[in-house]
Amino acid sequence: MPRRPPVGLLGLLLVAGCTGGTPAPSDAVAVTPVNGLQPGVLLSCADLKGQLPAALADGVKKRPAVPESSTTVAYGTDPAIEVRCGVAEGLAADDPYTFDAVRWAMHDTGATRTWTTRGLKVDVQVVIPDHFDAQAELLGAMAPAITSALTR
Amino acid sequence: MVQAYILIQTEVGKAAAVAEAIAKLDGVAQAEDVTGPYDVIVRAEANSVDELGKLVVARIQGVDGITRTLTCPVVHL
Repeated sequence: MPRRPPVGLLGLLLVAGCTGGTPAPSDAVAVTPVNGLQPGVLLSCADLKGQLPAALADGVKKRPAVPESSTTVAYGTDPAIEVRCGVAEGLAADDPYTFDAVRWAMHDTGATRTWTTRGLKVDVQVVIPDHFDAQAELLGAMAPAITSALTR
Repeated sequence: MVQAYILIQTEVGKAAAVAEAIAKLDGVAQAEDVTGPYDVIVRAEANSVDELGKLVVARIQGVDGITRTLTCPVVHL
């Protein structure tokens, strides 16, 4: 009679993510990808992702986002800053700002501020928790990459 | 199979080395250093757009000396 592995062991392996895939880095942040994009949009997001700086400020370093996607990036410590590329443009009803020639619409939810670009070839959303100071400087640090990859 | 042309700007004097490094990557059909507004032009292909995006992000942009990429998917109208 063949021996079967204990059910509890199988469950533990599944919970631990032992399914044969590449394990997520220990500093990874869960960021919901933007799905269903047109090829040109997705590849513009890939261009952006590669050009975003390694850090937005002292101590606000880039971290891997999971699941892996060309549309997402994270920065800083928990809760992290979440960057999502390929979203709908920012709403005209939200507060308008311009930092380093990039136009943003800001929506303040209390715990976070959601900044979404306006008028680009592909738009980007950046969710910044309120514990980060100088949010304009953080967004300004992304401006060269955004302008380079996503300007019409 | 999806294809794209990737237009690359490099640091000064790095175009030839960047083109040579990229030409060795899986998924890259051709990589040439050129004159003009871009320094290297790459033709790449992958089984899906997602795979192509990962090729751009994880491998091509990891080559030392690249300052900017602009990826243009090939369309067959």
